[in-house]
Amino acid sequence: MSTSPDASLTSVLVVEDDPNIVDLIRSNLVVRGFDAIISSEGSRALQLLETEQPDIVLLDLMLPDMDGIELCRLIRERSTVGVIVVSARGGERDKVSVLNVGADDYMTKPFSIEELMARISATLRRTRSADPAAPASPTLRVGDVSIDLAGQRVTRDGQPVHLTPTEFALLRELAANRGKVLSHAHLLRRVWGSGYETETEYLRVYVRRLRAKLEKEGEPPLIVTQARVGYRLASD
Amino acid sequence: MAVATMDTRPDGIGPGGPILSARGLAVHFGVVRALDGVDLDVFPGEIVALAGENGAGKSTLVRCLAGDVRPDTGTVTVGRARVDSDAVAARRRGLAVVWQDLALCDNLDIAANLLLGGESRRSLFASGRFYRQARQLLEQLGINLPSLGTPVGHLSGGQRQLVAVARAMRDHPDVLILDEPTAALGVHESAQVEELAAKLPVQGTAVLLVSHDVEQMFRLADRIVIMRKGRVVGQVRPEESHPDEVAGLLSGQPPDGSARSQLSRLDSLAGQLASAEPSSSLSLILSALRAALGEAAVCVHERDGSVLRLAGAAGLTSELARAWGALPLGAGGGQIGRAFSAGREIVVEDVRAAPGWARFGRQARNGGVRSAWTVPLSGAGTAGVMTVLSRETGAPTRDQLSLANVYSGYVAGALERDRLLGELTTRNRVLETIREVLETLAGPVPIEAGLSVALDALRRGLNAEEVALLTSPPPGTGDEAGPGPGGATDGTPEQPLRVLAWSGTGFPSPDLARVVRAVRGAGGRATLEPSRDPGGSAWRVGVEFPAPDGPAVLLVTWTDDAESPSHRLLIEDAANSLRLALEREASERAQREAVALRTSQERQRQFLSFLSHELRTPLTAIRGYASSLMQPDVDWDDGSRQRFLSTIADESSRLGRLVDDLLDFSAIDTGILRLHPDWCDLALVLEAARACLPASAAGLVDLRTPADLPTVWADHDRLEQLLVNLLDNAIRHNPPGTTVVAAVDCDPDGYVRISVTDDGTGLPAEMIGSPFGRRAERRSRTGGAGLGLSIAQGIVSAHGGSFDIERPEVGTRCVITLPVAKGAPADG
Repeated sequence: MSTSPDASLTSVLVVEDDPNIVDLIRSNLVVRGFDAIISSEGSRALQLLETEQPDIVLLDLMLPDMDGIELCRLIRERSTVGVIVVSARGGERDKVSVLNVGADDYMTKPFSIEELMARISATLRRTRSADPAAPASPTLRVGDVSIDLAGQRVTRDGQPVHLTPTEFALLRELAANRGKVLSHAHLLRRVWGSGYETETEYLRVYVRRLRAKLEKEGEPPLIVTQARVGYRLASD
Repeated sequence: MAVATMDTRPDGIGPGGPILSARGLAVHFGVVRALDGVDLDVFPGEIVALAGENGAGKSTLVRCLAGDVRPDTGTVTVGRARVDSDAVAARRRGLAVVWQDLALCDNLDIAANLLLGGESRRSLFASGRFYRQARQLLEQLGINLPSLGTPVGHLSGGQRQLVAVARAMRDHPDVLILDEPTAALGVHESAQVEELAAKLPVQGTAVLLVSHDVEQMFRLADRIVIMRKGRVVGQVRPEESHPDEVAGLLSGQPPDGSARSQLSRLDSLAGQLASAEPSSSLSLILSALRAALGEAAVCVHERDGSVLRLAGAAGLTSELARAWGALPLGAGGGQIGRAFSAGREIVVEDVRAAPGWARFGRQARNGGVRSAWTVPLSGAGTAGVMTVLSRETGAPTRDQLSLANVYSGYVAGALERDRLLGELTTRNRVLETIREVLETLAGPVPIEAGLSVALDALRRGLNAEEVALLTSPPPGTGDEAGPGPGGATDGTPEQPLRVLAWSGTGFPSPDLARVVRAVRGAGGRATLEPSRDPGGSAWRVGVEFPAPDGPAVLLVTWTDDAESPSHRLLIEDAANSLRLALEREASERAQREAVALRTSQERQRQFLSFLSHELRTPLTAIRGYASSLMQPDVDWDDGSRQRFLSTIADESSRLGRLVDDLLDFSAIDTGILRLHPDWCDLALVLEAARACLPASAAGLVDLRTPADLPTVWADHDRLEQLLVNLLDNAIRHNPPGTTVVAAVDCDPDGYVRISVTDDGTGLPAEMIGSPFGRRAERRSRTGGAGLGLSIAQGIVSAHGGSFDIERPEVGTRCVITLPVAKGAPADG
C-alpha cells in the first residue's frame, strides 16, 4: 500500500496502553503523513475526541480505566466518527458486541500493518462524505422516510435521523438499487470494502441498527430480508 | 415482630391468673428435642389455638399438659395447683382433653358414651333418667344428634367428635384441650365442630385448640400460639395478623421444593401416628367400672407366658398390687388363676371362709375385702381375667355381673389397643428420630454421618444387633462391576453393593455384600422375608428399595428370634425415609456439581481470554514491526529500524518465556512439575535472574543480599525463572522510573525470605489473592502478571515454601519463604 491520499490532514486517535503497540501504530501513521493522537486511557480519549476532532478512532478493547465496549458506546453517543476496535481477545462475541454499540470495524491482534492501513482507509472512505463527483441525485422517499443522497441527510416523518457514516453508506447502497436484492457479499464489498465479503455479522448488525432507527413497529419493513441471499430496500 | 412481645393476657380478662399454665417445659426423646423450654398460658374465657407443623411439639406439649408425659424440666399448673405429669390431678383440677382418637366405645350408644364412668348403680338401669341426663347435656351445648340410643359406631366423624366434646364437657371443665378436632372431617362437619367449640367459653370453659388449619384458627381463636422445633416462636392475634404471617412462622422459611414437601408428607405420617396415642384408656375404663359398680377395687390380669400379669387396676392397694403382680395359672393363682384356667366366672362370697384366700388374698382380706368375683375377659386375641373386690359379703347382682361383662369387652379391647399402641409408639419414636435426623441432613452435615445416627435410632427401635444400609456405588467410581457373564438369572445383573452406613452393637458382619445376596435369595430382591445365617444364629431381614445410583438394601440383623411383623412395618417405613434422604442428597449433589462445572467453565473462559491477550500482545508487536520493516514504500530511518528490531527481539523472548510459563503452568496444574534441587547460592540466583531482563530493565533492579546467606536446597533454574517473572512484572507493570529491590534475609528457624518490592502503583488490590480474578475482563497495567503469579505460587509450593503478596504503603511486595534444607540429603 502506498502512502494514502487519505492521509493528508487526517488525524487518527489511537487509544492503546501498550507502549510497543503505540509506537508501532504511531510510526506507521506518521510515516504516511497522518496526524496521530495518542491516549492510553479511555477518559482522556473522550476529552481528545472533543478537543482534537479526530477523523477516525483506533480503540483497544482492554484499557486500564474503562471497558472498551463502554468507551465505544460513549464515543458513538458523542460523535459519528469512524471507530475501529482492536481486540486481543478475538472472540465472535466481542465482535458483535462492539458492532452493536456502533463500531464501524473490528480487528484482532496480531495484525499486519497492511491490514491496519487497509481498514483505516476503508473506514475513512465510508465516513467521508459521498463521492463528490457523483451527480446530484434526487431525494428518495420510502414511506415516511426520505433520503437525501447528496446531502447525506435522512428524515422520518420530517424529523432528522442521525446515522453514522457506515449506516448511511449501507442505506445509500440499498437506496441506489432500490427494489433490487443486493447480496451480502455485494453490500459488504460496497460498504466496508473488498476483503469484507464474508463478514456477514457486520451486515446483520448494521441492518438491525438501520431498522431500529428508520422502521416503525406495525408497518411494512423498509429493509426487506431475502433469506440467505441479501437485502433490498422496499420499493415503496 | 410486634406480636412476639405481645402480652399473653387477652383483653377483657380479669386479673385472675391463667387457668392453665406451663412454664419452661422441656422433653427429650433420645436425640429429639420435642419441647425446648415452652411457656404457655390459657386464661379463662379464651380460645387459644396451638399451631405447628408436624413434629413441632404440639402433641408432646398437649400430653405434658394432660399429665401423660412427664417433662424433663418445667411445670404445669391447672387452676392454681401444680399437676406435673399427673393426669388424674389435672383432670380433678378442671382440665379435660378430647384426643384425636376420641376414645369412644363404638358399640355403646350415644348416651352410654356420654355418661361412661359417670353412671351410678342406681341410675344405670333407670333408663329414663339416664337418657334424660344425656339429652340435657347435649341440649345445654346446643348439639343436635340422632336418637341417643344409636351406637356411636354408626355416627359420622363429625357427630363422633361432638359426642366426645360433650362427654368432656360433662364435668364442666375449666379448660378443654381439643386435639386436632377437625383433622379427619369434611368441611360441613368441621363447621359443626367449630360452632360447638366457639360456644364453649360461654359455658365457662376455656379452649386450647390444637390445629393444622390456619384458617380455622383465624375463625375461632382469640390468640394463636405458634410452635416450631419444640419452641414457641410467636403469638399473634387474628385481628392483628394474617394467615400468611402464621404460615411463615410455622415453617420458619419459605417452602423450597420437592425435598421439603416429601419430608413434610413423612412428617405428617409421623404426626398422625403420634397423635393416635390416647390417654391411658384401660385405667379410665377400670375407674369407670369401679365407679359404676360402687365397689372397692377392680383389677385385670393378662396372660403373659406362664403367668397372669396385673395389667391394670383401680382402687387396688399398692400392697395387693405387688402381691398380685404376677400369679400362676390354675389353682396356684387362687381364684384368679382358676377362673382363667377354667374359662368361667368364679365368685367367692366370703373371702374369710374361702380356704385358699388366707394365703392368696391376705392383704385384700386385711384391707377390708369381703367378697370377690372374677370373670374371664371376652375379647378376641386377649387372654385374661377381670376381678372385682367388694367390701360386702355375698354374690354380685345380675346387674353387676352383666355390667362387668360389658366392661370386660372394653378392657379386652383396651388391652389389645395398648399393646398395639405400645408397638406403635416405639415405632413412632424411632420414625420421629429418623425424620429429625434426616431433616438435619438438609444442612451441611455429610449424609453418611446423619445416616449412621438414623440407623442407630432404627437399631434401638428394632432392638436389633446390626443395621446396615447398602447402596449401589455411584456411577464412575470404578468399583461397579459390569454385567458379569451369566451373572443374571432373571435378567437383572446382580450388582455388588457397598455399605453406605452402619450401626451395630459389635463389629460389622464380615462380607455384608454376601449377606445381601443371601437375603435377596432366589428372587434376586430382598423382600423382608427373614432368613437365618447359614451356620450362624443371626436372623436377617432385608428390604430393597430403589435409590438414585441403583438398588439399595436396608439390612437388619438379630441374634435371637426377635423379628416380628411390626418390626417389618418399621423397617419398611425407615427404608422409605432413607430413600427420600438419598434422593434428596443425590439431587443436591447434582446441583452442586452443576454449579461447580459452571464456575470452572467460567474460570476457564476467563483464563483463555486472558491467555489470548497475553499471547497476542507480543505477537502484535512482532508481526506489526516486522511487516512495517517489510513495507516496500516506506523508507525507515536508522533509529526507527533499530527500535523496531530490538522490540522484536525483546517481545520474542517475552513470548518465548510466556510459552515456557504456559508449559510450566500446565505442569503445575496437572501436578507433574518436577524439581531438580541442589544446593543453591541465592545471591547467584538473583544475579542470574537480573541478567535475563532487558538491559534497560536490569538497571532498575537493586539486589540486596547479605554476605552470610546459607545455601538453600532448591532448583536453581526454577527459582531463577520465578524471580525473572517477578522482576519483569514489577518493572513492566509500573510507571517508568519505578525502582525494584530484590532482597534476601534468613531467619533462625531454617527459612529464607526473598522479597521483590517495587515503589510503583503495583498490582491492583483485586488481583492479590486471586491472580486470575477479573484480570481478563479489564486489562490493567499488570498484563501478564496473572500467569506469572500462578507459576510463582506453583514453584514455591513445590519447594515446600510459601508465596505472599503484600501491599506496603507504596508499591507491591512479593515475598517467597523457602525452607533452607527441606528434602535435602541427610549429611546436609
